[in-house]
Amino acid sequence: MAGLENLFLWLSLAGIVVTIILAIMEFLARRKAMLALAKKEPASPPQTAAAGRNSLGIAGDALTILTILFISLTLVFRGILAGHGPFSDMYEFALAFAWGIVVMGAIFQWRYKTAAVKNAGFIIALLLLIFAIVEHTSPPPLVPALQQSTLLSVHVASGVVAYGTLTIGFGAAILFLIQNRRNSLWLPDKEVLDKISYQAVVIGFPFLTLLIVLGALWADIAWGKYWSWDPKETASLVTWLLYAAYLHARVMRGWRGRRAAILLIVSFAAILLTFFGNYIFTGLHTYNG
Amino acid sequence: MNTQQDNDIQSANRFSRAIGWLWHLLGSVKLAFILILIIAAVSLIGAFLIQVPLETARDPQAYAAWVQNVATAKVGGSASLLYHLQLFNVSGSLWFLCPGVLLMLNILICSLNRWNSIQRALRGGAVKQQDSFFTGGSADARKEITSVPLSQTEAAQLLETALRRRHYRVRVEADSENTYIAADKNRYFRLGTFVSHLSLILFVLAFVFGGLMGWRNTDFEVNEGATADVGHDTNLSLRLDSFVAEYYADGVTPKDYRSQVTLYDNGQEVKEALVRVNYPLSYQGVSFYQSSFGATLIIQMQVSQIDTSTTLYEGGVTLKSMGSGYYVGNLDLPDQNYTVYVIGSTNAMDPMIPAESVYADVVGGDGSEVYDLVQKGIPISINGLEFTYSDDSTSQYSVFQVSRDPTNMLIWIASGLFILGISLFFYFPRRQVWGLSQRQGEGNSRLLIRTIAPHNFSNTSEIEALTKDFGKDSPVQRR
Repeated sequence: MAGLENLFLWLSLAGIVVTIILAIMEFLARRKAMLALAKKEPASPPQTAAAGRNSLGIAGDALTILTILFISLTLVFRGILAGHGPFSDMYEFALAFAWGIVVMGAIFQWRYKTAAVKNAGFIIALLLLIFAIVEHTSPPPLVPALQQSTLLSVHVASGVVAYGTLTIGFGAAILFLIQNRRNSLWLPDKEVLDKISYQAVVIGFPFLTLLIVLGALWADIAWGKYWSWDPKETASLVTWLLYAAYLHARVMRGWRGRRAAILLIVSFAAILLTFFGNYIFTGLHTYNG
Repeated sequence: MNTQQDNDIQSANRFSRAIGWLWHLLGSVKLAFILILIIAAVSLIGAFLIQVPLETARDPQAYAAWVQNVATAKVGGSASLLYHLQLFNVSGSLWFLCPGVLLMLNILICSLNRWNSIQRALRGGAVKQQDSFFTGGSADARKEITSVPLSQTEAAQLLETALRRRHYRVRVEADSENTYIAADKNRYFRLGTFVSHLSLILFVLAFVFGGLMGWRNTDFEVNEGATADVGHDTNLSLRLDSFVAEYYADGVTPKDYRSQVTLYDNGQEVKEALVRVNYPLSYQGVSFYQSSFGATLIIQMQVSQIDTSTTLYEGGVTLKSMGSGYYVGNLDLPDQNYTVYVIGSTNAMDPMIPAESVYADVVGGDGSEVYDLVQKGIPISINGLEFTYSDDSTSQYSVFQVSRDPTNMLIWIASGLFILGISLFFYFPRRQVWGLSQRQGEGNSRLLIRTIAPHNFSNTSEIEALTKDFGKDSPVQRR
């Protein structure tokens, strides 16, 4: 199982790298086609060359699906090797987080007919996979507090959905800021990016809430206390508060565009702080690995 | 009217205006936004800066000692300043509590203010809308179908059918020229925002009252075979019948530990249970959580001074293990100015400290320190003392956290409501559709549709689906 897990781990990495390379090649090909067209027929609107997908884009879509499969299989073989859900050390979390990003990226691509946001998410997923490979160890023994597979699975699974979706929101916010300055023809319209970033939070926020509430209820069962102000808990509260602030600004105060995008980027930084918190803080959430 | 009355009325007006202004401010979402950000910023400090344990924070003397010993070691000279700024206890600080209380007030007032608009939403607003309403709004939120080859009423009925098929609540009003339709769905889920916001208040109330009415003992230790009184407001006592700890192959990481216990109320046996991590024992609101465990190793030892041949100590030395893999204890011989630290291993295969042997680290009054292995039955001299280890016995103890939290149930209910409210509000947003069917000569009509979808979700798909549905039953030309 360890061999298969390793194989699919590297295939996942390869899948993400090649998808990103294909996206760059598609971008360059379109740019070339558009410039050529502009030379030949200066009067024609440039959108015609930018619109429509070419074979590189289709290959990229196929690879996205393959990558999802590869990461899923890595998780499955890891789970078989460990004898429990792959939800107990930083390697497994990073892998699951990357899975969440790639799956959510694919869903948003299907929903909004643009691969740009998914590709931005893929860059984060790539960094996570590299981190996972560096952190790769054999499954650590599970301390008794973690031997509550139902709660652990649901707690971590809601984290995967929340973090995956919110990463897509972050990608859209970054692209929005780029688009706000350049208005590039190869990126989606900035209104679309704004909309994607908002919808990502609308989908991710309830899961983020579930993540924290389940964590608290589980802490009550395992440690006899919902909330211990453990640094990782506090960081997750900060994350939740920032996204809650974003939603209030957006729903009630009509924040759009640049300010909203900046707030989303700050909120995502809080996710990273929470995720990598065990390296920065000490506390109850100190796992092996 | 005389001036006195005038002044009275004016000041009364000013007063009610001030109250109105304050009410508006306290209930505003802008205030909520600012307060949330302040609480986030303060919490962030709490994540980065070392925080005092809550039990220590309650005792001013212990807190002061903690600042002196623990905090100063971490942050150096600024510890005193940070202490006075309450930053070692962020969750109990004014920086956190003031915006927290204001936020709760804000949620309450905001919810009250919103009640009317929610009620309106539940009843449904006006059915009749101006023509300009149908031509306004963003392009993807409206649709116009001209030359429907049906009468005004028939076209309206068709739209109504399409809406009902999609589970809308439909209301219709008509005059001779126009038929108005107002439809909505998921209207009750608008209450989701109420539910989630009010459950936040419930959380806070449960937390505060739980803290006031309940109690917590984080260090309730019971030896194997012994019975210990729980105390507080109970007559409970707990007997540890047996304790088992299992380790992984590394010998250090605990795999499972469980306590077989019997609970007595007023001396009467009331419950037998196996308490494990994640599986607490509850009885009449009092819960026992498996927290940690340890083992006690008692070594029968004789210690004598070599140069005077006098026996300094004879009896048991108690060594405790807190699950670290080693037993640790010490023997104070104050008259002779010796302190002896004794270390044994919980692991019989330990290469450093084999079974039936302990390390003795002898610190003399002159500061000299010598250590060596003391084996059972073999006298050995260390730093001027002779040690004879004659016998040993081990026993286990289990540590529980015992607490009574009368608001426990409330927290679980609030958690459920919180998740429910948020999910309903975001995943099942209220959708509204208005239709206007206008007579255009005999047997012909014009149909206008306008939607409002919250959360900026795409309007297009809903409108497209509706018109497709509409078109299924009627030959229409679309524009």
